[in-house]
Amino acid sequence: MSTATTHDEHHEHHDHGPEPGLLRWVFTTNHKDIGTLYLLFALLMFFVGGALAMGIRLELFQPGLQFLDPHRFNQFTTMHALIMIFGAVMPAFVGFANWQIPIMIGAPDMALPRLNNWSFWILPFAFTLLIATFFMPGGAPAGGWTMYPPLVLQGGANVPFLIFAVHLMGISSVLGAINIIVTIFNMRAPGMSLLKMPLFVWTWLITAYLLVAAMPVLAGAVTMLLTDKFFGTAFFNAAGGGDPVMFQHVFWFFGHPEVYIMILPAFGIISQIIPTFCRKPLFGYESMVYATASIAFLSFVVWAHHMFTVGMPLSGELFFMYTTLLIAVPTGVKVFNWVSTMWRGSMSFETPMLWAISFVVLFTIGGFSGLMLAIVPADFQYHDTYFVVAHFHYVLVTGAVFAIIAGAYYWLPKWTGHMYNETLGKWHFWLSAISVNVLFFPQHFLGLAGMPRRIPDYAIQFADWNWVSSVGGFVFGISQLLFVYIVFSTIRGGEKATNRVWEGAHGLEWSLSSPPGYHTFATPPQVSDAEAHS
Amino acid sequence: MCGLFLQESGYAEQTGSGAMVVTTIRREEGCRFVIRPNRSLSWRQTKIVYATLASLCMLVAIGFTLMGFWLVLPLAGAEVLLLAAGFYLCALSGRETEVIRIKDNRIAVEKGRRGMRTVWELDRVWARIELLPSRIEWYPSRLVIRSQGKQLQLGAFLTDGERERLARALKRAISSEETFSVAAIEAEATLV
Repeated sequence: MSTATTHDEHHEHHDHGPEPGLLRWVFTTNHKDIGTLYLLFALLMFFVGGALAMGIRLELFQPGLQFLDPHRFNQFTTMHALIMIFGAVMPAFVGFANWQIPIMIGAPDMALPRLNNWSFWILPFAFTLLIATFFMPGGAPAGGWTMYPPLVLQGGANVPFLIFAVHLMGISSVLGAINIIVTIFNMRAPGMSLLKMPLFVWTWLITAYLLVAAMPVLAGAVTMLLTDKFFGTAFFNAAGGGDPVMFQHVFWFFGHPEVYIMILPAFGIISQIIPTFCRKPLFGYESMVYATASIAFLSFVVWAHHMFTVGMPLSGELFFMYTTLLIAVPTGVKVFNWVSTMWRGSMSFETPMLWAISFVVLFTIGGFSGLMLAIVPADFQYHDTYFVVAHFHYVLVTGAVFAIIAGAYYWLPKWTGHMYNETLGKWHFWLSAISVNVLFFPQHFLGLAGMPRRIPDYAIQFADWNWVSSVGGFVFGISQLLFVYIVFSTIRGGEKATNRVWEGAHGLEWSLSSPPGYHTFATPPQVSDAEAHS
Repeated sequence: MCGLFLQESGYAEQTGSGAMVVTTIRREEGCRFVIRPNRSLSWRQTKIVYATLASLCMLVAIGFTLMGFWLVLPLAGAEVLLLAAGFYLCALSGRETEVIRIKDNRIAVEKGRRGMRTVWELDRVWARIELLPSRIEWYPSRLVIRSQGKQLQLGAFLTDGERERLARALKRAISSEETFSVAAIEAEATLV
């Protein structure tokens, strides 16, 4: 034991608090600051990736080559996917996790605040590296976000930048996942047992498990691409005894869990919103938890359904077909529980609820087209057509992105202390919900008619639905500017939000002030039955 | 002699972890506050959770290594080490303990983890407990004890609400006319 006097405490005389000005955001370890940074970064990347999508739809507006040469078109599709997946959807969910998990479980902050700062600040560097490839000789990566060799290795100067950027994104995701796991396990308030945690926290815990298990595989796969290109190895080089098809296996072993990494937190957000606006507890809380865990487990044994046409033994195709079809069971449990929560609920249709209901309907459409793709003989026809493009956009746009927007409207009053403009929110919803279907539903028809994906030009018989799809795309894109206006005007001011914000809201976060601040948990967080499971 | 827990009873039993704030009053020894951060996993539970996660990760990595894709293994290994570091650092910070003893004209504050304690001595007559809100609304407050121009931070690892309750209890204990006002502090404890 050492003895000291208070003279040792001279350094504590200065006024405490964050760094002044912009430095606050650089050095912050506050979970609310870092959550805000993640969300704003995701919004920025949503518009960068969205601008590329507009370019794609502009080129596909009519047959022939108008605006983009084929190589540039391929760069746009590749970068659109990479930016939307790693820059928009994933960081948005991590932003929600940072804001919500500590206040939902009654913790003072994340368990590892400095790591939290680092995991965010890696991202801007990763995306600067990635986007900088547009200005390099040979342009940006053009081999698709799946980075299949040997095509991706012919990319010229962008290859090492792409691989390093993917490494950085992976490190950021893993650090975020580690922090979330440690926080959820170690920082729960007294009484917050695992089966009393809000569904959003549960879905993020399971997502973090998926990230920890899957990310080293992606990192290993791209590192092997790097050594194949620059260090003379032949993991995936047939000339050296390697097997390029094995890259697809390795990649999709990561890639399919990645799909669930992008959708499980969305399930969590929807499971918070629907009970609030139905004024009922969530139907089947425990079955929701087990269904989420089942989906996560199954995600590791279905990867080859992305590559049925590559050449596999029949037994392999049957195995992956059956396991893929099996995912419909826990997913069906979830949809059933959401609908059952609405059944005879005292429903109201504020903006977050509108987005949540549209999520349930439209995500289910994406799920059904997924079932069609899971059937091997059918997939042989659908593979690499626009049907696949329609499928995964229903899952990721009307699924993940709609849930993110729903969550933003739901928690924005809590975060900012102000109510958003409900009329504008509803305009945003209806414009988006109609236009997104005009955008993506015709792509089912195009795919079934045989239009391949990743092409800048197409046969004349596909012209009409492409025209319709592009019009839907432009309206959807412009509608999102309204969202930016609503978000920033809510941050700047507006009607004062109450603590509970929504009449039917339950959970620890709603017992805090809006925004949650100095008086966080003025009484100890008590997890009553009414507050749990919501 | 009496012992008061400044949180709902049964928590330590439920989670097997240390208590957040404990006040013990012994008339002959003075008033003592023991403050620890909340951790909802015991060290044994931490090891079990870590082992399941690390096994899952290494199972995948070893599988790929056996198929020849050995570069997954070092990356998975690095990740598993980072995860261990995360759990360890969180558990280690959970051992932070602050003990405040108030007796006669002296306030003694001890801080540290097991085996490494630093002690500050303050004059009780000049001591002031202050709960300082941050300049920015959603940043945590700071609880300080000031005496003769010097100050020392307390309970940085608590939630704002816990700090508020601790501040009230400390103020009562320091300013009490009776040397050890058990009644006053007991009343504070029932607020929790």
